Amino acid sequence: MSLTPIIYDFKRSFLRLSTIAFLIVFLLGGAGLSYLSYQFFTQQYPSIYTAGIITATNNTCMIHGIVYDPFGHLVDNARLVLVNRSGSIIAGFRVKGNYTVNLTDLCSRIGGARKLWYYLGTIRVESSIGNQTITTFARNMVNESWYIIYGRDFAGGGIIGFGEQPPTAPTTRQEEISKYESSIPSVWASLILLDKKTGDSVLIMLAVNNNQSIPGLKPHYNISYAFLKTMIRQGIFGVSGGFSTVNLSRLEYRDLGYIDKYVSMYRIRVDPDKDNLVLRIYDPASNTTSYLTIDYAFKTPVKAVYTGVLVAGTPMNLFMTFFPILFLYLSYALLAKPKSIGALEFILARPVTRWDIYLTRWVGGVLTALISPALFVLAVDATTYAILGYGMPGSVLLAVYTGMTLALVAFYSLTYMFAAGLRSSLHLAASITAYLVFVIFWSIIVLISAFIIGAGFAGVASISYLLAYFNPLGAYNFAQYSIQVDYGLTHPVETANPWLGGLSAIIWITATFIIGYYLFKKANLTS
Amino acid sequence: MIVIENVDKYFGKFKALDNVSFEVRNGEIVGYVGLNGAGKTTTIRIAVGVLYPDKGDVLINGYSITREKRKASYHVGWVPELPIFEPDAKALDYFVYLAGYYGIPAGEARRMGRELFEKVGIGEAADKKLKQYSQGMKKRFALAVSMINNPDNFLFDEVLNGLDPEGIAFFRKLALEFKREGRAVLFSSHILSEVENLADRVVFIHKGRIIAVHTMEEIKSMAKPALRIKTDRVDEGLVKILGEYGEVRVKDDAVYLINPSIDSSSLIEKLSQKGYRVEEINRVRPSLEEVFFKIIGEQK
Repeated sequence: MSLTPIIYDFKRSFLRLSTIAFLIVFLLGGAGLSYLSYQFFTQQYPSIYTAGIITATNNTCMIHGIVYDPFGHLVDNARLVLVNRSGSIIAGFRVKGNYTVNLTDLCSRIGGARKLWYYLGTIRVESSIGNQTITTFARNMVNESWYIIYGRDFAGGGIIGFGEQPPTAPTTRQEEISKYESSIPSVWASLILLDKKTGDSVLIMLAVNNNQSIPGLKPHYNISYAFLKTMIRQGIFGVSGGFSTVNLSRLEYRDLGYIDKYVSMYRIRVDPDKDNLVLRIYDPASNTTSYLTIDYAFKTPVKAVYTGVLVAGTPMNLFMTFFPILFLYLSYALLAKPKSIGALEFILARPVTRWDIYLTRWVGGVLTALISPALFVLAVDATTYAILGYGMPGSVLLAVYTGMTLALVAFYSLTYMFAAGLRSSLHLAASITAYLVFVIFWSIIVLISAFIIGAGFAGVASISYLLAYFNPLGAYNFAQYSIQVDYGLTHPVETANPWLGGLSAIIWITATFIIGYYLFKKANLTS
Repeated sequence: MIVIENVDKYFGKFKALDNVSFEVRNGEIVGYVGLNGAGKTTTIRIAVGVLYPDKGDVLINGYSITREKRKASYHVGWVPELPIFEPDAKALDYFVYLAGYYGIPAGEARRMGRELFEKVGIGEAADKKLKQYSQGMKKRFALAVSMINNPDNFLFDEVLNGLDPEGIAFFRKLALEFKREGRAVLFSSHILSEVENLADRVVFIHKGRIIAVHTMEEIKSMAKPALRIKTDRVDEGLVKILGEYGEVRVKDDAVYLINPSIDSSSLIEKLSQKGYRVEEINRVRPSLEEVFFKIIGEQK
């Protein structure tokens, strides 16, 4: 026997109109939904981060700032625009990632000092990021952290500023002061966690010295850092417990060195077993030490979040919800229908056995199950790369692809088994029922099971993975799970074992294939 | 050579074949004759390997269809009564697909397909979908597929059924050609006159059992002559008179006198004397059909 029958059956399964239509819809849908996921993602994790300080001393206004992306890379070619409350641009600058703007007329352009901070409500950045040139960022795509310093010589004193959040417009001067004045730190720091397992991170610090005697409010601090575990975690379903009390001065600090720049960026490795970064800031001028803590317990690396959004998000889930329908149809078209109308008899009169026919047609569908998810996953990944400049890691792609393929082959094998033993109408009835049970109503079955055995809502995750072993499409759940655990996006669940999940799919495939063959061997192939 | 050995087949409790045995030698056309439901198609389906026998076996060129299916099927071609294919497939594509089971690469199969399609008379329809084929075209397509590997044995199951005169002539000519080429041809039909004109031997099956196997010479010798008589009226008196000279059968508007002990001119005279006007009288040779019914009758 040549490979022609296998190729022919594969072509008839993969190149049939329904398969191509399904694929096109899902490839376009996958790419589109990836973009939607990206939009959702950018709301949670803006694409551009900017932070800056305005110093105003001796009638000289300077902006010291930084523009960076979620991975801690500096973003060049950004355009900063200062806009007043009415939306009029009062100043605009093209800046590099870590920049200083020093213009003699800046103070006059900014205008009345007391009103200045009102006018810093919006920042616009034009930048090339990833593989895409973004000309105007939506407000939710930019995380603004401004830190405004009023020099004594500028508008008559005081230091007013704010951190973390973009400015809103307080209605009274008193409200302005009460809202921000008390919260001015001399060092502002932000931590970008790049890898939860290794603790690889980027630390960004903005610093000024509030001492007006120092020219330009230039900082000069010795920074050291330590790690602290404050939260006590218990149980597998979440976080409980309280906070431990520690004396920050007794921690073991590592020296980061002196900082004498307004904006600094460091690559550090945080302790994955702790949850807080403690920065010790020593000011030799005043011989004072202060501490700044950054909680990274719930920080998730942006790549992990985006991978999580893609892997567990709408595009992949939609694919796995609806693509099994195609395989239900393929088992009908490749085996159930020709068997019912009697078309297999003529083929069986060739120098082949029933085994040959059963195997080649099964392989035809399986090849489609091998190729379709590959195309889909690559399309989603290509879209991701195009819009974010970040492709999913190979291990993630492989896990997603393996989970999808095993799941689809298992479901195809199940419906193929129905095709081998039942007439075409009964095959459709059985296959649709299987689809409803294993795909559409599965969550309800899990929920009901959790309550029946008394596990309640807390036990849903545990029961869900336990039952997934008994679902031919369960392999994909375990692929998602392994990726999410790997990226720290979910807590390990005792009942979930991705290897067992894969084994379960293989058992589904093998068992249904063998039973199907037994049924096919006995089947009457006459119409 | 096709050897059918002691084949039994049950469908549920119904015994469709009961110890069926016969053979089709090389260079021989064997007619397989029986009433509808007698077991002809079941026998042929078992012989080509699409049905399992419950007992017995079929040997194709010495290969067992049950134990050496691939080898046995390689040496036999089959044209079913009502060929069924996957309807959405194009004929030539489907031919290439089926040729793949013979180990023929796609390119060569495509070339071979066009040649065979021309030979069997469907060259113009090579790129049509099989659902657009008439019953006759489907049989020709099945024949083309059966000829892929030029087998030594052919099984034609009611192949003339539903064909136009041209189709009937085509298959008849083809069977004779196969015979000349030394192939074994099993030709089942309920159009017994066709078998009569083609077959070297006839296997009679009735209710799943082989009731007789005769060469055409034997059948001819078994067939008794008869006189076909048309008179102005057919009544009991006429039957009584004729009964004195042989076995009488009334069929349609004529009376048959089987194995007459009187010549036709004497019979005309006798009937005239009794008041019957003979409108037509002629000597006829009994058909295979009559022999068949006679054999069935003997079995009963």
